[in-house]
Parts: sequence; structure tokens; C-alpha cells
Amino acid sequence: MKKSLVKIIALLVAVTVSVGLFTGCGKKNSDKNEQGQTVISVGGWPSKEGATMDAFTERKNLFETNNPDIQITPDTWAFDLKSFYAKAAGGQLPTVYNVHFTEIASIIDSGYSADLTDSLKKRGYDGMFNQQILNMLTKDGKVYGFPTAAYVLGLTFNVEMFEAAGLLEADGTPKQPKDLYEMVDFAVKIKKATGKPGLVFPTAGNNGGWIFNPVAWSFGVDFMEQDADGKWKATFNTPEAVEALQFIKDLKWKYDILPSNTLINGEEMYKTFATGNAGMVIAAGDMPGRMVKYGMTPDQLGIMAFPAGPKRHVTLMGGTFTAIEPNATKDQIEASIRWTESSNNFKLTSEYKTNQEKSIQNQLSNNQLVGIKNMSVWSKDSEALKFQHQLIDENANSNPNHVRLYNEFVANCPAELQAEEPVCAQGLYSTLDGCIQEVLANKEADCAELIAKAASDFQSNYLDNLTY
Amino acid sequence: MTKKPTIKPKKLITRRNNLNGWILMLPMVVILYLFIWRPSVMGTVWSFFNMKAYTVLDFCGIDNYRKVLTHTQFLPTLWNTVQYVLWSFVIGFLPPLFVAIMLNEILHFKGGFRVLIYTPAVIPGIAAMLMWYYMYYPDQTGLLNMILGKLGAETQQWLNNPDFAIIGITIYSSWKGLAGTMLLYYASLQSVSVELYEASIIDGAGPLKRLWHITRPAMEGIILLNVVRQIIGVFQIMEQPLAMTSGGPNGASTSLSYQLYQYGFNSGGQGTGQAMALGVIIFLILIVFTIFYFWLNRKVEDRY
Amino acid sequence: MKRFGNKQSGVLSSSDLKTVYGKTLYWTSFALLAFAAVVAIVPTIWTILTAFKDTQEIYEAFSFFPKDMSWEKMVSRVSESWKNLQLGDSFINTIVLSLGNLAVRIVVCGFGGYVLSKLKPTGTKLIFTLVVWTMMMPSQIRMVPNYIGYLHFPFAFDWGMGVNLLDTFWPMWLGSGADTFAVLLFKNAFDALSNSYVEAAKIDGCTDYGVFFKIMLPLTTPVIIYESIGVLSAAWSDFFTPLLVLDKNVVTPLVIYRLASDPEVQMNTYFMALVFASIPPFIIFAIFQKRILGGINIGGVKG
Repeated sequence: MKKSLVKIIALLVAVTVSVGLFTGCGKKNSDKNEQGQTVISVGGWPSKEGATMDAFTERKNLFETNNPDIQITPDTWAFDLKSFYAKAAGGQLPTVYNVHFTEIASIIDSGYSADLTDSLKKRGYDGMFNQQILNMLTKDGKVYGFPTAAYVLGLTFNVEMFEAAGLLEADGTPKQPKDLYEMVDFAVKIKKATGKPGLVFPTAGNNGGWIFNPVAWSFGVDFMEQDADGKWKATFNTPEAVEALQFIKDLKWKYDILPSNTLINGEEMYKTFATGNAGMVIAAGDMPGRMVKYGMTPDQLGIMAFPAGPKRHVTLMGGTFTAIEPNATKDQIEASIRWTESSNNFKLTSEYKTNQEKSIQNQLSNNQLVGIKNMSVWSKDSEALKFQHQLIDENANSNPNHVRLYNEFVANCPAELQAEEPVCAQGLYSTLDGCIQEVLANKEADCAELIAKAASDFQSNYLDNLTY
Repeated sequence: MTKKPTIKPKKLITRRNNLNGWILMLPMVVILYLFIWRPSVMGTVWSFFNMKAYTVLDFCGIDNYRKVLTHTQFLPTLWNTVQYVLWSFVIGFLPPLFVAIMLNEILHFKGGFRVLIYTPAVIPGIAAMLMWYYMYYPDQTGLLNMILGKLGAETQQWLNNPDFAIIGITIYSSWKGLAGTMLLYYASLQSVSVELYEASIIDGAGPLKRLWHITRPAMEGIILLNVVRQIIGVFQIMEQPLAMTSGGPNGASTSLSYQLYQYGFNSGGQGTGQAMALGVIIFLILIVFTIFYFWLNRKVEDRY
Repeated sequence: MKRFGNKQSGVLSSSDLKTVYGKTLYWTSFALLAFAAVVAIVPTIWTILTAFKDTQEIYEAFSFFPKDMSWEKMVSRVSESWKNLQLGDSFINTIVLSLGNLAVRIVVCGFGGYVLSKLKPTGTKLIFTLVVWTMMMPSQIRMVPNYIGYLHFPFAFDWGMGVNLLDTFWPMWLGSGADTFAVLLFKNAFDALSNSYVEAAKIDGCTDYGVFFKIMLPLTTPVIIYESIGVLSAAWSDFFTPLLVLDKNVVTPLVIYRLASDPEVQMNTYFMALVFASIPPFIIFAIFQKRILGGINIGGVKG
């Protein structure tokens, strides 16, 4: 009796500790449920109740009504690099999720993404996507993603400050700087008129390097190339790169148009701009969503084309695509594509219409600027795109001339579009962040020396360490 | 229930005790094995292997170590880590000691002071770090710059200043940790014998003399132990740079442990092997201090 | 002067306090302590006050106090922020997490300490040495391998059999038992009980079971309370392991960390989140205040 009591406790402990483990962490669902519906889990579901959650739920209900053979399971995991590999290795990725173009290399190269080539072909997508975007999602002739949104960098400006500096026409159209040096002239004018910095340029959190990339391309810089053996070489120890860095340095020391804070990450950049502490910022059409936090109203925000550089007129293109987890069955891939189509469709379906309308209403209720027409992922005009643009025009909540130049820039594309560097982009950005911080903090900084060191650091810290 | 005959101490080690003992101890042994012993060994072994994210590939010799040690940021990061230790000594060593001694002497509002001074230790670490992040904010929305602005002084960059980032984080850590260390000293002050003090009063020694000749010798052991423990702890600093500066500006507040975290979880799966190699390097550096700590611990305990 | 005459001798004695020199020292100490107290609480007060400001006010009017400090305004800021932040679920989750951590800590480390101290089966020496030597081992060396271990628990390699612990509380719960410091605390507490005490109880008719629960356990209450305070507060503070393990915003410290970069949360609401997240630990502090400030007497840890 006495013996057994101690033993029972001990066994209880041992049993709870070991057996308890196997509850609550069930294996992945099979692709069909009892009713024979194909089950797919959808990542990026909101975890907080509210308008966004309602929109997702409505989209799900509508989709399930239209597709009685598919069941959607919400999954709040949204792509992030940290958990991606662990999720993928543990077979816990949602069936379908959205990823930024920035992360394309990490997901495709690691083999944790399903091949969509045949499924897309079957649904009639041959030649439908913008070829340049599709190339980014293609490796060895196979397509690994369904592009859903794209943007190009433009020049965002504060309408009130532009007006104060005499840079706004009577109808609200801004003057468009033709090149980067004219952009600097504008910034000087803004500073004279308002006393506030004319431009905010990011310097930290990899954002400095990220925005520096298109500037450097405009000066004719090539950052890297792959040699015959497949090895990557840093190729930016050049006079062009030095000139581009000198341009950044002059913003501070020659023209004095930057904020006094010289450490600006992405969030700080948006904050500085949105609280009226800078006249311009190089940013994309996703700005409206970010402005809400700091209380910027739609009529204060405008955007126009990215200025040309001395050598090229080029801007950065980015966006998001839908990826599907590698173990998905054919049925699941098909279902996932249909889900993606419900709000990103080439054809104008009633479901697409409803979802687009909801999305615009959502933006309006958040007090975001409606009026920007982002880059299309499709290769040609379509009814769906026309409908979307019409919807934006009808619901514009500010003077459309504030954003007209950007919309024209996107539509006519006078500039070359360039995607991010293919490998180690984040490493490149962080290396360049260092250079930018140094030239802004130190008046005596030697641009040539910094670029030379950055190129060799980038080579030895990142490119030489690539293992796959 | 039957009565057992008296057990003699020698007989405590019996078969029954063996079985019961192991059953009761099993959860501990299993958990220590799974969470500490095995991962420490595997971390060392895998540091010699190529990794693809969290999958082990093939043996690669000291390649991971070479990559870690030749990274141009390795030496600056090591130096940053040493700076954290040095600054935490300069900023964080004396205040808890003095507060403990003064609190021990004070009669007025003693309880109130104790509660107020203890509040930083109660606030959850992550909330406190983010509070301080906003106190250091480089424009006038930050508390410190707001005060400077009111005084008519120029605003500062605080954590955005590469020369201040480590100091700023250390000030936060010292603020947060003061109360805990202070209580430790306070407890050991209670054991200093009153007779010694009284005897010295008769000898005519003044207060500062008493502090030096009676309080100091009695506290030396615990102070030294605490300092070594602090060195070991601060050398592993990671959460503060992670939450407050992201290791910036431009790597100026990156510590070895934060670098390890970046390798392990933020490198697109490229740096997992390097993360484990760096873990072994940190271990090798700290083992020296750890051995010293145990040696010291034994010595201090022998004295009291 | 209050009670000066009765002051027990320390660095300052009651006779010192009659002199100007002694009084100066005393009141200087008092002033310095007051300064330390102000430094200790000002950041907290500022955070609370900022939480009651409007967002525009934070960026425009640089003042310590909010403009509008009326009762209605404060109540509406609290209720609005609470509604906005939806921290309720995370609070419940954090409580579940902390109670699980505590149960595992007490059971695993308590029994471990008991066995190492009293039952001492064959092999105790080896286990004990391992426990002591792992106590000060830096956790960095096992950060990544531990993470790999969670992916196919309990195996180190992927043999297709293990379970994935990611996104569950198990890594934290079980990890809470892997605390060698707690094992040694319990062992020391049991060491302090002499075997003769146990034998006497047995002669009086107590069973093994009775000895453990009636004699051993009550005498280790200080250690259990010490561990409870530590484990319960830590759950509201630790964000690193949850950051690695949990995806969904499930425990409060992680929610706080992630809210910092949430574009939809306005600054004043964010400061309110910091305030909300600090309330549970303050409740724990209020409950155990005497124990915490009294300096918990649990004896040293012998290596």
C-alpha cells in the first residue's frame, strides 16, 4: 500500500509528462474531409476581430457557397522568414499563403514550394501574367507562385508642403521632378518655404540599402553577377556607385534637406513623413495603409513618378504572390488557385466584383487614401482590371490629380522596371545601410573607401557563404 | 496498515529506494536530457555540419567556424559584448549596493522606498524595454528629449547614436535589475553583527570608517559572487538589443548572442550551422568565468 | 525626531545621529533614496500618462501630462483601448501557460531534489554532477538544437515519428522543468531536514507517503513560494521562447512585442497595451509583497 502510493504518484507524473505530449499537436489534415470536400488552409488570416476579420469571413462564406466542393480552414500564420523553415520542415505550412517578392529566392530555392506550372496552364494562365513578374517566380522553367499584387516605387509627397513651396498646380497636379537632381531642388524649395526637411531617406533596418538600390541603378550601378561556375561576385566597387553614394552624402552636407535624425528605419521613415516632418519620400503605392497609424488624412497624401537618374530611368518593382505548400495534392492546388482567383482574377466574376467592392469599402472606412492604381500583374488589359480602376475612380476620397502622375507612370511605364537583386538582397541592404549612415553622420567620410569596403565585406560575409 | 520496523540510516539505500528513487527522478532526468544535455551535445556536433535551415546535411569540418570568425562583424560584435559587460559594471555595480546600505540605515518612509524602488523589477521585461525604447525616442515624443527640450537643450539621438546605444541599453538593464541585486545585498547586510558595530562605536570610529572596516569585509564575498554572475549574465545579453535596437545602429549594439539569434533564425536558413558554431565559441569563452565562479562560490561558502 | 534614539546600531548609530555630521549623512541618504525612488517610477508614470493622451497630442504637444485629464476621458481611453487591443485571450493563455509552467517546475524539480537529497538511488552522484555542471552552461549553445528538437519531439533527428511541438505550449511547459537551479534549491531544502526526523516520524507510525506529504513538503514551502513567484511573473515577461515557438499572437509578452510594429495600432493605444500588460505582474507582486521584499530566505545553493 505505502509502496504503491509513492509509485502511483511517480507513474502519474511520468505518464502526464510523456503521454500529454501527444495531444494538441495533431498531424496535418488529409486533403479531403468526411463530406468529400477538398480542405485547404489559408494563411494570413487576421487574429483580431474587426473589419478585416469580417472581410475575410465574408470572402470565405461567399467562396464556399460558390465552390461547394471546397472547405476553407483559416490559419493565422502569415509568412515570415523565421518560422517559415521550421513550419516547412515540420509539415505545418498552411496550404496557401502570401509572400513578398523579396522572399522568392528563400522559398523556391529551398524546395518548400509546390510546382504550379501544370495547374496554372490547365486553368488557362499561359501568357496571361506580366512576363517580367512571372520570370521572378520561375526557376528552371517551372512556376512556383501566383502573383497577386505588384507595385513600383514612386515619389510620395505631402500635398500641403508642396503647395506651400509653390510646387502644386491650381488643379492639384504636382510638378514632376525630371531627375534626381531636380528632386533635390524641390526639397530645397520645400525647406525654404516650410522650414521642414524636404526629403526623408531611410538609413537603417535594411531600408536604407533597399531604397538606395534603385537610386544606384539610376547612376548605372550593377551590384552583382554570376560567373560561369555559378559563383556570385559583388561588382559595385565602381565610380558609379561612389557617385551614387556621394549623391546621398550631398543631401545632407551640401543641400541640407534631410531630417536631423540620421537613423531612420522603415517605420521611422513613414512616421517622419506622415506626421508632416518631411516633404517627400521615395515609396510605393502601399503608402496609404501605413499612414493611418500617424493620422495622415487622404487629402494630404500625393504620389508621382520616380525621377530618372544620370544614366538610366529605372525603378524598383515588388509585390506579393501566393505560394502553395509543397505537399499539397493536385486537388488542393486547384482549390488554392480558385481561392486566389476569388479576389485576384483576370476574368470579371461576380465573386471578384463583390470582393473588390468590399476591399475598397474597407479602405474607405479605415480613412485610407483611395485613388492609387497599382501595377497590374497581368500582361494585358482585362475587364477585371477595368472594373477595379473604375471602382477606384468612383470611390476616390481625395483630389485625383494628387496621384494622377503616379497612375500614369504605372500605366505607361516610361521607366525600366527592375526587381530586387537575386541573392543575398538583405545582406546587401544591411551592408549599404552602414555606408549611408556613415556618410550622413560624418562630413569627412570618403565615399570611394566606403564603397570599396562594402563591396569586399558583402563578398566575404554573404556571397562567399552561400551554400544553396 | 502494518508498521515497518525502524530503518537504520545505512539501509536507506535499498532496492526499493533504488526503484522508487529512479521512478520519481525520471521526469527530471528525461527533461534535462531532452532540453539541456542532448541539445548541448548536438549543438557542438552539428556545428561541424552543413545545415539547410533546420535539416542536417553533411560534415564540413570547421567551415562554420571559419565563416563566423572571418565575418567582418565578428570582432566588432565581440568587442560590443565586452563593452556591455564593462558598462554594466561601471553603471550597474555601485547603485544597488549603496541603495541597500542606505535603505538599511534609514528610518523614515523605509517601507515606501522599498516598494517604489522595487517597481521596475515588477514590470514585465518586454514592456519595460519598449517603455525605455520610447523614452529614448530620438525626437521630442521621447521622454528624455522632451525634458531636454523643456530645458532648452538640443535633442539627442540616444539609442540611434552608435556611441551611446550600448550605454543606453545598460542604463535600462541597471534600472530594471537594481532592485533584485539590492535585495540580495540588503539580506546579507542583516547578517552583519550589531555587536561589531557597537564595539567600533566604543573605539570611536566614525560612520564611514565603520562602513569600510565592518560592512565591507562582511559583504565582500557576496559582492564578488554577484559581480561574476553579472559578467556571465551580461555576456549573454540578447533580448535587449533584439527588442530595443535590433542590434543597431549599424551593428553598434549587436552582441554575440544577438548575432547567434540572427544566424539561427533570421538568415533565410543560411546561418543555422554558424549559429551553433557561435554557440560553442560563446560557451568556450564563458567556461572560464564559470569555473572561476564555482571556485569562488566554494571559497565564499567556506568563509561563512 | 522620530525614533532616532532607538535606532539599532549600524553604519549610523543613534549617537551619530545627534551630531550635525551624522544628521547630514542621514538626510543625504534619505535624499538619495528619494532620488532613486523617483528614477525608479518616472518611466512608469510617464507611460501611463502617455497612454491617456490623444495620438496627435503625443506628436504635437510635448508635455508630461495629458491635456484632458477628466474622469470620462480616462475611462473612455481605457475601455476603447481594451476593445481595440483584444488582449483578453492572451491574458487567459498566459495564465494557462504560467500555471502549466509552475506545475511542471514543482513536480519535476521537487521530486528530483527530493530523490537527490533523500532516496539517493544508485547513480545519484553522476546525475548530481551533471546537474551542477549544466547549471551555469550558457543557453546559447543549445538554442538552435532545442528548436530542431521541437520539430520532431522527442527525437533529435527527423525519423518521421516525432511530434511537432511548435505552436503549442509544450516547449515552455516542459522547458520549465529543465531548471537545474530549482532542483538544487529543492535538494538543499530537503538536505536541511535530518534523517532522524524522518525516522522519528516513522516510528510514530507514519508511512513513506505520509513522511513526504506531512513532513517534507510543508518544510519546503518557502522554496515552493519562491519558485511560484518566479515562474508566475516570468510568464508575463518572457517573450523570447514564445517568439521562436508560437506563431499566433497567443501570450501577452509576445503580443506586446509584435504590437510595436503593427501599423493599425495608434501610439496612445500602444502605451495603454504596455500598461495593461503590467497589471498581472503587479497583482502577483501585491499578493506576495511581504515575501518578495522581506528577502526570501531559502538558503544558498551549494555546488
